Amino acid sequence: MRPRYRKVIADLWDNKARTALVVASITIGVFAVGMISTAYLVLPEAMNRGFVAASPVNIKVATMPFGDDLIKSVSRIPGVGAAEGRQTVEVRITKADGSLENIELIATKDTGMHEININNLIEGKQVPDDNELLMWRDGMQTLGFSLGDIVTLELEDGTIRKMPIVGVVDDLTHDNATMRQPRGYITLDTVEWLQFEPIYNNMWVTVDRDTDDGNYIASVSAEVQSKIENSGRPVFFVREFTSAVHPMASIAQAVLGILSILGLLIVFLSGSLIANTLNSLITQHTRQIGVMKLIGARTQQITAIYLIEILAFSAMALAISIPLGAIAGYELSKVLSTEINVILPDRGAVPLMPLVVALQVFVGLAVPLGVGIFPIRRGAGITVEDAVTGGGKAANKESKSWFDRTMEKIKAFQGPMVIALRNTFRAKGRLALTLFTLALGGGIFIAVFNVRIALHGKVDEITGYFAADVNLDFDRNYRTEEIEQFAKQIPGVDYIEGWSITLGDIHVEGQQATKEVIMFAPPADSRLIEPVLIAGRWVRPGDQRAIALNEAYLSVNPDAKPGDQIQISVNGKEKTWTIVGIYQFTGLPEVFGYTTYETLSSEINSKFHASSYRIATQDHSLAFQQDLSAQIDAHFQKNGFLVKEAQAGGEFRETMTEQMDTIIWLLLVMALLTAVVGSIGLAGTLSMNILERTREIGVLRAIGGYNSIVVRLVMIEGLIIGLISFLLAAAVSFPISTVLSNVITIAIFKSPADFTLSPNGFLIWSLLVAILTTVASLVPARNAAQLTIREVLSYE
Amino acid sequence: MFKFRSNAAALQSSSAVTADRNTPFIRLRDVRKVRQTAVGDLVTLKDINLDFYRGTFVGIVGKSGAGKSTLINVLSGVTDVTSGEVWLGETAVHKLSESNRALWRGTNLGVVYQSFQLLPNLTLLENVMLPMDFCGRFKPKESREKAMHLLDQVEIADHAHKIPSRISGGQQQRAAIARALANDPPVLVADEPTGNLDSVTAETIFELFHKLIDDGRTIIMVTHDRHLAERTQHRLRISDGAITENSHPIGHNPHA
Ligand SMILES: Nc1ncnc2c1ncn2[C@@H]1O[C@H](COP(=O)(O)OP(=O)(O)OP(=O)(O)O)[C@@H](O)[C@H]1O
Ligand SMILES: [Mg+2]
Repeated sequence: MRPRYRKVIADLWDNKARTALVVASITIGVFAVGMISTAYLVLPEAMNRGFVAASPVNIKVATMPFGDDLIKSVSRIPGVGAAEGRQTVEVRITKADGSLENIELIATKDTGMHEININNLIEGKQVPDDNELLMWRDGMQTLGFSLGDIVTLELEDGTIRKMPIVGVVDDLTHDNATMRQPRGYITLDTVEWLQFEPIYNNMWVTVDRDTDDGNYIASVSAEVQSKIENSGRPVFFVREFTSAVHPMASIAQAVLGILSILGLLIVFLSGSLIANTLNSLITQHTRQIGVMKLIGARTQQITAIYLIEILAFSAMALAISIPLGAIAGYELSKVLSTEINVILPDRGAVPLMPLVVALQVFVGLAVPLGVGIFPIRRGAGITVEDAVTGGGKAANKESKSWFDRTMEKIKAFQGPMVIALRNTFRAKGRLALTLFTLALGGGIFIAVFNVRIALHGKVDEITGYFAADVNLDFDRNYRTEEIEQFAKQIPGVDYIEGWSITLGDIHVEGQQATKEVIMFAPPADSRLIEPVLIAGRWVRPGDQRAIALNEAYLSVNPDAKPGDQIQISVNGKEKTWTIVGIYQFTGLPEVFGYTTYETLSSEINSKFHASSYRIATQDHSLAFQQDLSAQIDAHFQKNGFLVKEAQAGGEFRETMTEQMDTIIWLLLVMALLTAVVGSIGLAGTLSMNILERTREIGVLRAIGGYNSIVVRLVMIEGLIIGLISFLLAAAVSFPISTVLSNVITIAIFKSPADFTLSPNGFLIWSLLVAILTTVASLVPARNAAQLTIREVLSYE
Repeated sequence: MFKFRSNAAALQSSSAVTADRNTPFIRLRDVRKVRQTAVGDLVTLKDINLDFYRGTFVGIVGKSGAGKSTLINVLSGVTDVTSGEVWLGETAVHKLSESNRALWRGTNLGVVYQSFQLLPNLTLLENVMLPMDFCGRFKPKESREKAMHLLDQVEIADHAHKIPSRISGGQQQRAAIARALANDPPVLVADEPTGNLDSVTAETIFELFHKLIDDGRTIIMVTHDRHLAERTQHRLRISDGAITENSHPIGHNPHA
């Protein structure tokens, strides 16, 4: 091998710590790029492919029982892609833990072979036989079952039916990710066995084209509805869905977008680390460069040698980070995918993606070469004289900087402190880069903890709409007074409210499609709802057909404001309602309206009656709520009420918090990556500073400095850097927290976050910096202190 | 007799063996070197005029700070002159660019310093091969053989595969000399090559130099050792940047 390449190898091999430092710096950036771009390519693609392939329903119409003839005539309507009948029934199922929960069972003639909302088989069989149950994957987890379990169903009249779970499927079209009700699939004959009529009551329709065009879907829907009405059946309600992209795609994109921005920051930070280390490498090699020039090396040859060294660093980093990035990217997608109901292809089916690898190779080469070219050009351009005689110019310039002059004037510092301070600020470029890296890394780290609080704050706001401890639903209306009486008999129940709930249709001016609104009507003086208003006010006692709508209505009618009059059909009668306020809800696309019980119950002719009740209990813990739910359920059933469900209010909050924690978890991964970058930066800077001063340390000892002084000097220096970096990180964490919280809450909840502050981030980061500083300075300091004077003086 | 060569050809080494001993090979004309220091300009070389011939052993002496190293460095192109001309054969050293000067130095000049200046993480063999690698005059296999031969010549072939920190100072100095000879340069400049060595080792290095002179090389050596200086053919004394003694001023060929 040519000796110049031998030198390259020797440089890499002899200073393993430095090689590790550079390779680690490059690796982190390239790893982040690989991880995030893999997720970017895998996840939205899998989401939309799975979603579209499932042929999601575009129009759902609930009507009177019908048969194949109506399906046939609907499917012949121009614009209809496919039409199928469904029977949807709800029964109570005993969960694995013994408690009761409602399950929605969907049946069709050829369950498992149908063409709309095609199920994706996960395990077991795709097509259930009679009296067998196919379960939706998510419901399995909520209920605590696994394949092969026999489930117990309780029918309306108390009859018990047992069914085996023969298959687990994923319904990729199930869009409502925040309020997941367990779902199962059965045959029409099973419906009869469960004491329901084995006929269809739901018409499911897909359109033949433009599945993303709401107006086209609405126009086809109108045709479908009139066909059904012409057959003599009333249309109870209609829901329309676009189906070109996964309903959660925008949120997934937003989360990935945020991760990408963080990833870019990490690349940026890793770039500054690389710059730092390469700078120091060149500084250490000044003499060697001089020698090589002395014996005939031209500037380009020197440049080439060091460029090759960088390429070698890059190659090592790429060898590590390409496979690691691919694995992490897949795992990242996996974590996200289970939260948003997406099936990822197997790990094996996701090989290294050429685009990702190309991007990684580009970043892995461009960043180190880009930042390395400056020190290399500086180093390669040095004259033999400067290099061999110790570079008189550079040394002179530095010793006369403003900082040193200032330091000389400050008399307050004594002894080692002055030396340490001066040392700290000697390599100013490097110090600036290190502080920058640490400040940004620490800022992001701290911010993640603040974002977490902000997200939980959002969850709190939303759970203000679900403040009840127990939600009790019946299959029919009961007199509220009667329910109240029975409820009060149960110890632990504080008070109870009867809520009216119904579906309405808003007629939006200038639009053909009506917008469905889910109307809640708590008593006007309800104590179980804490709304967050964006505009106007909440509904009040005495309001006449007043309604408060959530922010989703603004995407239907962006000009909507309090005081507007709108037409809403409730119970088949279209009337004029007044919007009194717009409130902030979950960011879901559904429109929810709140009016008073007094208004709605008279609109639907059920005054003093309700089927839905909200109960406050004396203890608000989830365990107490769950326990009491079971008691309430049993109590009402015993007394002959048709209980649909009694559910602990805290469960909803838990689901939401879990989802938020997934995002937090992802952010934390990024925060950790930035922390690693920062740590490497700190450790690198300190040890480089010491390496470069080994000779000086030797002189200090030769003139009688004790080891303890040397060690103390280095420690003070490390602590100064650590302290400054922490202060900077704390400062930049404020803007980073604000931006990050807002971007995320806007993506998920369609509303900005309130600024929140958590001491955790600050504490953890300060601890981390303290530990790192100590370790990163102690190790090289001890090494330096252990060198013999002879070794030190011959140190190059 | 003059051999006229183009400027490009000047970058190639002339063979030491075909030395023309009758014309001055190295010429310094009105060389002035002024350095900027904190206390003002310092004239470290004052209008130096010198001729050196092929196959001569030049010894430079003088007090510390007199300008000996500066003179050597001006000769080797390591230091720029402030004014004046430095010629080596037909090459105007003072006019070469930084990079061309490196290439020129690599092929025409061997440089040896007091501290050994070997690359610390390469073996002696690789250190000796390095100039050949940079100047590209030999094929890798050839340069390996040649480097071994040179190490053999300076009697450290046994240590060829050791790194510099594993051998003694004298051995390192020999390796540095072997390296300086790698590209077969007609001229060797040495700044106190024996300064760090004991007198016995210094003597062996000195004998090595004499062998090189016999091969037709020119050696220009700075030394503090008066006894060694007295054994050179062409002796110079420099004080305060000026030549104060010169055994062979311009026009006096030591071969004559
Ligand atoms: N890089 C430099 N910058 C400024 N002045 C310099 C530099 N190098 C040398 N000098 C000055 O130039 C003068 C000549 O120095 P030079 O190194 O040539 O002396 P020398 O004769 O080789 O001394 P020694 O025997 O100590 O090596 C001295 O006064 C010295 O201080
Ligand atoms: Mg000198």
